Amino acid sequence: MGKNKKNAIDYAQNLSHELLTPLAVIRNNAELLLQSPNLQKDDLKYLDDILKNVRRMNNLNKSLILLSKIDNEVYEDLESINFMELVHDILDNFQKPIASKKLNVTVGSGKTDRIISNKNLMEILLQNLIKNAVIHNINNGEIHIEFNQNAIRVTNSYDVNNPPPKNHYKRFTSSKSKQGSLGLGLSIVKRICEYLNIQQSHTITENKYLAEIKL
Amino acid sequence: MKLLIVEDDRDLLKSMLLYFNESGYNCENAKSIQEVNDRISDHQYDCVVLDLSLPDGNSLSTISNIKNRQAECGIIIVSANSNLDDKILGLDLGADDYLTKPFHLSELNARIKSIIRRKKQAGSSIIQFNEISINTDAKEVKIADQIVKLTKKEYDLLLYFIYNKNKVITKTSISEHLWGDFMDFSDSADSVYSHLKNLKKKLAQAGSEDYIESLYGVGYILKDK
Repeated sequence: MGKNKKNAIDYAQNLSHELLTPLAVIRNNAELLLQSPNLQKDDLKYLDDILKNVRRMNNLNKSLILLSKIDNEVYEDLESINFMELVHDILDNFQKPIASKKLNVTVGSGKTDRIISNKNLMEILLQNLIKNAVIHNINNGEIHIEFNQNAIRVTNSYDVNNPPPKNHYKRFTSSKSKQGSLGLGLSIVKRICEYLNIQQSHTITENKYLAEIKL
Repeated sequence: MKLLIVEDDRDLLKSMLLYFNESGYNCENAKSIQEVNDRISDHQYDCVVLDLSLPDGNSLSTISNIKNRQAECGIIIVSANSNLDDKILGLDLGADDYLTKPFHLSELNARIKSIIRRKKQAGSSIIQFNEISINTDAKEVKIADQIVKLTKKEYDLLLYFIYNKNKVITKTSISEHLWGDFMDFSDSADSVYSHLKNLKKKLAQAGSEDYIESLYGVGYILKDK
């Protein structure tokens, strides 16, 4: 690894450390204040906003660290991964939002269910694709995850009144109606694909969104 | 219960001391490895909350020192680094748990209580809260000798409330406790609400009083009446 890259990683990690302590101070003080017995409804609302935004900043911070790590190529090991197992593990994490939106999730694969790649990166990539498919979905919508030797495809229904923005895979582009969404998910996907040297594409049809990763 | 809180950031330390003193612990603090070593040679603690990066170095090295002097003392690492290697190393050296910043005070409190319980009450695995009795080995909840059938999430939720009784706990902290901070969904609050609703219903059906109150959806409190 070049010296500049090493410096950039060190810088990102130092920055992350420096931000986490003040975030912890803000969160702790909000939690302490919340213990006061005489809080009015409005006071609680302000505290709730502070706490929500601490969480948002924390997630943003984590995503930026992740992007910087990928940008600086620190993922080198390749292994044979059981793709279906990985998908089901990830879907498990999303059980609750999937249930609350009553999404119909289907998973299909070709002959093989193994893929050679870096497990960490593949997991982050799939997590982000599936997370997007869940978040930007509609009630009673659909998600279809498909895997074969040539491609990974994640298809989902979306709100036709609020279609994905044109440049939606650029950093910090998030749909206006989803406050709290960071707009980093797809740029992480894009960066991982560049890193693994695989093609990715997004297709928006009349009522379906398709994210495709060519293997 | 005696705690040693090790943290070099003064504001963070202040907030932790305030919270844990109010929670009934007897707290002392240290801001450097040197101070930790001094403290543990003079005093006995039930648990040490240990920040990893201190002005005079990485405090992983003090873990074995604490263990040698006070085998019964629990150690929970609180670190700004989510690096997996540090976590594995810390646990290998004898720490009991690991939490990354920014943590929730209620989460830290629940973890400290769980560690102290494991260390002190070898043999007894029952937590009693009024008529509610929890067997932490069997993960079983009883009210008046009747088993209350809870899902894993409902069980975790109840235990989290009882560890933090009489304290307001935030929706975010509950959501992160149950699902991890990966669930950065706006609808995770609804999930908390629906699990809580089911839990309250099951407890009420088994004849338990309703101890859990909502604070306009910002947080909840389990009150010992």
